[in-house]
Amino acid sequence: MDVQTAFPPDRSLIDALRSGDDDAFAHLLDRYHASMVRVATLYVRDRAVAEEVAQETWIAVLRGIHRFEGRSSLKTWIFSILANQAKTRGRREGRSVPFSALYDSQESVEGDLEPAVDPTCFKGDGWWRDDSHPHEWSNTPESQYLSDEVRRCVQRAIDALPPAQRQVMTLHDIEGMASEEVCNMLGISETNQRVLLHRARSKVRRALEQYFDEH
Amino acid sequence: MSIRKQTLYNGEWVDELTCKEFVEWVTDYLEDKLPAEDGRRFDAHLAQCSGCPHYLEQIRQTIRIAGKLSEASIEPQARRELLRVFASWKAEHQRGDDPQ
Ligand SMILES: [Zn+2]
Repeated sequence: MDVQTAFPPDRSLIDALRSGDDDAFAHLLDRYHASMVRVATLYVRDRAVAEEVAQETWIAVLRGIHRFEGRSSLKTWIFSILANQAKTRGRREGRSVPFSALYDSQESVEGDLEPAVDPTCFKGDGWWRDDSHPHEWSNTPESQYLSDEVRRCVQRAIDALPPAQRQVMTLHDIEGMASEEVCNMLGISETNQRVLLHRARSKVRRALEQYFDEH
Repeated sequence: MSIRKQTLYNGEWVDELTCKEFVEWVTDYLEDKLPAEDGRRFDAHLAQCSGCPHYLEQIRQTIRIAGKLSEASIEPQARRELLRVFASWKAEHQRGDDPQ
């Protein structure tokens, strides 16, 4: 990463925070808080608790800001604090399954138990059957897919995913984290991450297909 | 296992890919993780199939819509509370334990 171009905004934000600039803090809240709550729900499952975890994270950020050395980006640092707080909280609640157990389970990469598309959609030769041939979802412009209703459909489909798939899709596709960051945060291999992402996206696509068929 | 058909793509013969296989390769393709040879098979299939281009586009749309979910913003009440937290942190700091 090019330090010259990547860090100045961070650095000025950090300096502003240290000197007690309200606007700098408000800016960070606007930029990250909603994401932090969403990421925290991956560990604690309950939105109210996730909100608390995010708030506690900000307190920890303020306590640590004078010691922060800028070796990672400010965002990465904040989210690693968040992940630690959320994990601790999840463990205390006894609600969250430890990660290693989660990824060792059969939900992970073993075998090809979960095809992306229902196998009955294909003919014997492996090509689409005429009646399940994918088609364009909508001829209307962008706005139609991006309606609140469509977003809710996607959110519901993601909420319904098995935990590891939900975590990977939330971090990678909603939060826009790079694969490497996702792997670090969840402690999984890149291959495992991609399999989970694949299964997650395939299922969410199916949910959307159903939605567009009905509307 | 039957003998795999070959198909001509960009002047080269490549093993044909079925739609059933194509849908399993989509994520590796989008994440740029397909080995070169498989990438050619994927592209060849994309050029000769009338369904799979739509499938690929649907997956792209799925990702795009998921990306839009990040646009939610902080609840006003949480924002007010946290700004208060910041104000008291600042007051504490300026009372003298500033490490700088
Ligand atoms: Zn096809």
